[in-house]
Amino acid sequence: MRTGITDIRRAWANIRAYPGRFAAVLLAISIGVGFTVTTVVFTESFRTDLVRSIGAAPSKVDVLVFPFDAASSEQPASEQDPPQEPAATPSVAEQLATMPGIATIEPIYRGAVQFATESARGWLAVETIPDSQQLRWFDLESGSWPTGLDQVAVDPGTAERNGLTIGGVLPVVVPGGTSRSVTIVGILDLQRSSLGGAQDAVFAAPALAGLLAGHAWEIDLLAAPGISADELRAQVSAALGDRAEVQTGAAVVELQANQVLGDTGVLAAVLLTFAAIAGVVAAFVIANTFTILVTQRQRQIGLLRCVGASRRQVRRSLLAEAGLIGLIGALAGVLLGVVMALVTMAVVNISFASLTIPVIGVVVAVAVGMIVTVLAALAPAVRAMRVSPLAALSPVPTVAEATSAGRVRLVVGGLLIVAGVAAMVGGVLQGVLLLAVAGGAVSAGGVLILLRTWVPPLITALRAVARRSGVVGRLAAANLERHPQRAASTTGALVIAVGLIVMLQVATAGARASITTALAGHYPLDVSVTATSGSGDRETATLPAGLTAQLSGVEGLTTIEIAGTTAALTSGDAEFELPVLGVPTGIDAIVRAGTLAEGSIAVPSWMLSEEVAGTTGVRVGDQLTLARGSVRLTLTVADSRLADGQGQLAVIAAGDLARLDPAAVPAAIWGRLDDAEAADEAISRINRVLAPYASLQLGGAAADRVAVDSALSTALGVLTSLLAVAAVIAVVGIGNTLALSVVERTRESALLRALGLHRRQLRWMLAAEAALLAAIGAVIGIVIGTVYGLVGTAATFGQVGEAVTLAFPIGQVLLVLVLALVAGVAASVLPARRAAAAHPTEALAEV
Amino acid sequence: MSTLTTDVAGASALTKVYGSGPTAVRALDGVDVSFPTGSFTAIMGPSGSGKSTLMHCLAGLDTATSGRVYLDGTDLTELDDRRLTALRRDRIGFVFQSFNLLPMLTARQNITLPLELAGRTVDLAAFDLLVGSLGIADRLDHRPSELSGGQQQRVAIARALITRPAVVFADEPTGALDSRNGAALLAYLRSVAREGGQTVVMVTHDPIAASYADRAILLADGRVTGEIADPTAESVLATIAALGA
Repeated sequence: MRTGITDIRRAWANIRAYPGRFAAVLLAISIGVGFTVTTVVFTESFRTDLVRSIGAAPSKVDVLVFPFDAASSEQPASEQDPPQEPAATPSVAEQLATMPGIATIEPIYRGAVQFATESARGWLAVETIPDSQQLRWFDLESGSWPTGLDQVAVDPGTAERNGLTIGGVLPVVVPGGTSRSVTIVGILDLQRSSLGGAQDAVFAAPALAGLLAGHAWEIDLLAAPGISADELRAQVSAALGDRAEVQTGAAVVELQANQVLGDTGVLAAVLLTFAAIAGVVAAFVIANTFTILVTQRQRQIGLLRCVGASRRQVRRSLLAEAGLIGLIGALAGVLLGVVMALVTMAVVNISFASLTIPVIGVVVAVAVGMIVTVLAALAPAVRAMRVSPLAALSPVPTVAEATSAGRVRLVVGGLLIVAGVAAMVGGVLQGVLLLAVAGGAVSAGGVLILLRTWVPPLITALRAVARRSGVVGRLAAANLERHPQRAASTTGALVIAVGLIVMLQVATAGARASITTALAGHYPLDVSVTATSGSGDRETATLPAGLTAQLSGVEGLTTIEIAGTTAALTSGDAEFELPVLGVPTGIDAIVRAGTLAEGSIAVPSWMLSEEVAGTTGVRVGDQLTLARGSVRLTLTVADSRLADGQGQLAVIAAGDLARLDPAAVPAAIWGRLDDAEAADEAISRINRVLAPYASLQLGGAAADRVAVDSALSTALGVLTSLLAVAAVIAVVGIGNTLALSVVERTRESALLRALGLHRRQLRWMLAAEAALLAAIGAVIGIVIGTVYGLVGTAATFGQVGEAVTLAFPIGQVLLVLVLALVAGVAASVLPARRAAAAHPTEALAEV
Repeated sequence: MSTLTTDVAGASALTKVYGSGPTAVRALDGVDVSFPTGSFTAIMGPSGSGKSTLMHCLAGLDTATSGRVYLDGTDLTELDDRRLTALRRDRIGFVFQSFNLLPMLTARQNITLPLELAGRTVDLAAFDLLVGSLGIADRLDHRPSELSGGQQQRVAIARALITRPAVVFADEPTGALDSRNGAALLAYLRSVAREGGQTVVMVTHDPIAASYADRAILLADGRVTGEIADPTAESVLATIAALGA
C-alpha cells in the first residue's frame, strides 16, 4: 500500500515537472473520453426529451378511445356541407356522449393532405387542435389560434422547411380531389426536438381537421371531477366492448416512449462505435508518447535502477503515471463531453431542461479512458524494465532504436493480410457482406502491424521528393528515418482515421453510381408529371391548360405529352374503372437507352409494370380487354418498364388509345433530362413550374435520384464529421511526436543553428517532417480506404443481388489529402517554435 | 610564415553580463584580444574564467553586453540574427568536445552540411584532399554511431574546414579523446594553421593541448591575465602557478 502511494507521488512529480510532454496525451485522452461522454449524455438527454415530447399529447388526456371502425363508419366530409358534428364515428362518439363521468369529449383527426407552394410540394400531416384548452399539448408561439374551415397553424420546423409564414396561403387538396386554399394564422410551439419528429404538419380546429383528414382515429376524454382516469377507462371499456380500444393517457405515454427508446438504442450504438474508433486512435497516440518518454528517460530510469529500484518498481511507477494521466485526461474529457453534449443539444434544438447525465455511463467512460491509457503504456513500461542501470552512466542517451524484431512481425502481418484479403474476395464473389467485413477487419490489423515495415521505404521514397526542396527537406526525411517505429505509430493513427473516411467516401460514391445505374435501368423515364384526382388513380384527371408548353420551356428538359382517358377492365366477373395512358411513337426521344425493347410499343399491347404483374397475377402474354362505351379493345400483356412507377394504370400505345377514346385529353407529361447528373437543379426548376398545381404528381427516376443523393450526402456528412474526431486526435498525435522529438533534439537544433541554419529553416524542417508524416499516413489511409470502400460496395450490392458500379470520388479524396497535410503542418507550429527558440550556444554545453 | 599579419578576428572592451541586479554575473569584463590570420591561439583558464563565453561571443553564438567583436572586417555586434546565422555558416567553423555530429546523416553528409545550408556546391577536389588528409576517406558512408571517437572528431574537423572559414573555433576538441587521438588531432590543427594559413582559436584547460598553439591567452574572472608566446606545457603551468600566487 505504501509503495503504491509512493508510486503515485513520484508519477505526479514527473507529470508536474514536464507538463508540456503530457499535454498531447491529455488532449488525446480527453478528446476520446469527451466524445464518449458526449455520446452517452446526448443520447440520454435525447431520450428524456423524446419521452417528454412524445408523451406531450397523451399526458394531457385522461382516457383515449381508439374506435376500430373509425375509417369505415365515417362519411367523406365535403365543403358544401360543413359538418357540425364532424365526420367522426357517430356511433361511438354518440355512445360516449350519453355516458356519465365524462367531462370532455374531443375527436382527434389525423391524416395527411397534399400541398404545393413555390418552393416545395408533398404531403403534410394533419393534426387537430382540441377545442378544450386543457387538451392542447402545444402553445401558441405567434399569431392566433386557427378557427373555422380556412385557417391553419404550423410548427416552426414545418414553417422553416417549407418556407411558410403567417398570413401565407397554402393550397391543399381535400380528399375528393378539390383544391382548397387555407391561410396560416399561427405558429405553434410544440416543445419538441427537431430530431423527435421532423414530420411536416398543419394544425387545424376540429372542423377543418375533420375535413382534411377524414378519420377520427382517436377520441380524447377528460374525466369529470371525482373520477380517476383508471375508473373512467374501466367504465368506457366495459361500455364499448370490442368496438374500441380504451387506454389511459399514462399507459399510452409509456407505450410510445418504449417504442421510441428502442430507436435511440440504435443511435447510441452507432455513436459509441465512432467513440470506440476515436479511442483506438487515441491509444496509438498514448502508446507512442510513452514509448518516446521511456526512450528519453533512459538516464533517469537507469539512475533509479542504480539507486536500487527493482524492474517491477520501474514498471509500476510508469504504469502509475499512465493511470494518473488517464484519470486527469478522462476527467477533463467529462467536462468537455458535457459541454459538447449541450452544444449538440442547442444545435438540434433540444431543450437544456432535458439534460440528463447518466452516472454509470460517465463512470464507465472515465474507467475506459484510464484503462486504455494504462494498456497503451504497458508495452513501453515493459521496455523500460529492460533499461540497465548502466544507462545512467552513458554520457549521451543512446537513442538508437531496434529496427528489427521484424521477422515475426512480417509473418504475422503478412498472414493476416493474406487471410483478410482472401475473406474479402470470397465475400465479394459470394455476395456475403459479413465475410467481407470480417476480412476487412483482419487485413486492417495486418496492415497496421506491417506499417513499421512499410513506413521507412515510403519515407525513403518521399525523401527523393523532399530532396528537391533542398537540405531542409532532406534533414526532415532523415530525422524521420531514424525513428521508423515512432513514425509508423504516429502515422498509424492517421491511417485509421483517413482510411475510414476515404472508405466511406468511396462506398458512398459507389452506392450513388450503382443506384443511378439501377434507376436508369429500372425507370426509363427521368421525369413524369401526372394529373391526379386526389382520390387515388381511379380516374384520369386533366392536366392544366398550358402546362405542356411551360414544361417544354424548362431548360435541360425534353418533354412529350401523353394523352389519357379512363376505361373499364373486365377481369372475370369484376369490372374496374382505371386510367389509361397512350404512348406515342415519338417516345424513343425521351426514353433512356437500353431500357425498352425495340418496337415493344408498336404492337397493340398493354405494358405492364413489374409491380403490377407481381400483385395481380397477370402474366406476360395474357389477353386483357379494356372497354369504354361501345369500344372494346383486347390487348396482349407485354413486359415493359415504361409502366414502372406509374401506379395502377394501363399504359398502351397511342393508336390504341385513340380508338378507345378519340377525345382523349393530355393526362401526363413525360420528360428526359439532358444532363442526368444535374438532376437536382432540373427538379427544382420543374418544381417552380408546378408550384400552382397542388394535385400534380412529380415522379420518375430523376426525383428518386435527387432523394437518394441527398440522403447519401447527409449520411456521408454525418459519418465523416464523427470520424473527424478520430482524425483530430491523429493530428494531435503528429504534433505530439514532433514536440517530444524536439525536446530530445534540443542539442541538435542548437547545433544546426550554430552551423548556420536560419530559424525559419528550422521551422520549415519541422513543418516538412509533419507534412511527410501526414502524407504517409494519408496516402496509406487513402489506399486501404479505397480498397475497403470498393470491396464493401461490391459485397453489399452483391448481397442484395444488384449490379454494382464502382466509383472513385477523386475530388473528395484529394480534399482529405490536402486537409491532412495542412493539419499536419499546423500541428508542427508549436513544436517548431520551440525548436527555433534553441540557442546556438546550447550545442556547446556539455551534458 | 608571413611577418605582415593582419588580424582576422578580435574583440575590444568586450563585456558580457548575465542576469541583472545583485545576482548579475560579469562573465567577461573588458576583454581585448586579437587573432592574426593564420595563427593558432589557445584560450586558457580555470572553470568559470569566462573562456567559453569569450569564444561564444567571438563566434557570434552569443551577443556582447558591450564592447565590439569583429570578424573578417565585420562588426558582429551590429548584426541581426539572420546575418549572424549566415556569417556563422559561411565564415566560421566549429569543433566541439562531444563532436556534435548529426546522428541521422552519414559522415559525408555531415561534412557537406554547411555547404548545403549555404546552397553552395561541393568542390570535389578540395573535399577529397580534406578527407584524405584526415584519413577518413573510407568511412564517409557510415553514420556517426558506426565511427570511433577519433573518427567522429575528424569528421567534425572536416565539417569545420570544408567552407574555408575565416576562423575555426574549437571548444575542448580533445576532451573526449584518448591521448593518442588527441595528439594527432592537435598536430593536425597546428598544420592547418601553419601550412594552410587557417586561423584557429582553441579553448582548453589542458596545458599539453595548449602547447601545440602559437600562443596562449590566459583568462581569469573575465579578464585577460596573461599571454604566452610559443607555449610549452611547462611554461603554461608556470605562468598559471605564478598568477595563482
